[in-house]
Amino acid sequence: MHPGDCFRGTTFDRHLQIILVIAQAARLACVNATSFGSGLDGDRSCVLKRGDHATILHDSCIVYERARLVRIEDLEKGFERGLLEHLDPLRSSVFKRVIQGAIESEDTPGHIVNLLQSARDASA
Amino acid sequence: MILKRGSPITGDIFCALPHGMIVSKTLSLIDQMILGQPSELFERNFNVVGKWDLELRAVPDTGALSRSEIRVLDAVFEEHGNKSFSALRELTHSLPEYSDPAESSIPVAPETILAKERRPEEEIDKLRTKAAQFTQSDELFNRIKE
Repeated sequence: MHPGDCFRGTTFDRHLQIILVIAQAARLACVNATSFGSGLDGDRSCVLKRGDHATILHDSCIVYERARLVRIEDLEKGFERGLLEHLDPLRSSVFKRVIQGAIESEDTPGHIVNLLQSARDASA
Repeated sequence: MILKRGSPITGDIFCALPHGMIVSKTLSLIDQMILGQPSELFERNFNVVGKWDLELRAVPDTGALSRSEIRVLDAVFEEHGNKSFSALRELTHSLPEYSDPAESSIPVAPETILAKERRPEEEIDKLRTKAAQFTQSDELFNRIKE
């Protein structure tokens, strides 16, 4: 699994999940997108549009306030047990917008902002 | 934070108790600490002072909080942090979402807080949808851990 890779639940919570960054201790940070108008339209730090990903059919926001750290082992088990399915990764240009939005959003948890900034510094 | 973003910072359940509004799980953790049966997390971070008060042992890790949440918490502390127990009791009794639970407790849903603040029904519906999505998302990540 790599930053920019995507997945979602197979039967439960079908929202697009995006891997933001690989963290220490075999964890990764991910965040989900959701359509505007579904109740979660407060954060406009990054707006995804139709064509940005096959699952994005309407203008959508990224729910940065719910970005979370997940154990990679748990995700792998989720795929093995059929609870999760892999989706096409984001194009590089789209993923850069998602990351920029995560850093700029006032609602992203601080530890995830720090991870993203460290990853950005390391790759600079 | 509920009025601004539609979701609480703590993820806890609000309740009306005889002495005012509280967050339920947090109060249980404080009670355990005061009764000498602290959770590991609380024992690591707090000392009991006197009969009813807690103090931080050190500056806590705020990594799980966002910038907007820290701003709200700082503003709340600035406005209410030095108020006495009785002043806070009086204040929370005056909140529109508070209702007297007699000797019991009454859970107060976030949408009730919006309704009591006379927010439009559309906004309250959005909050319900948001809460349902959060629950679904949490459920997904809980299931993969099982």
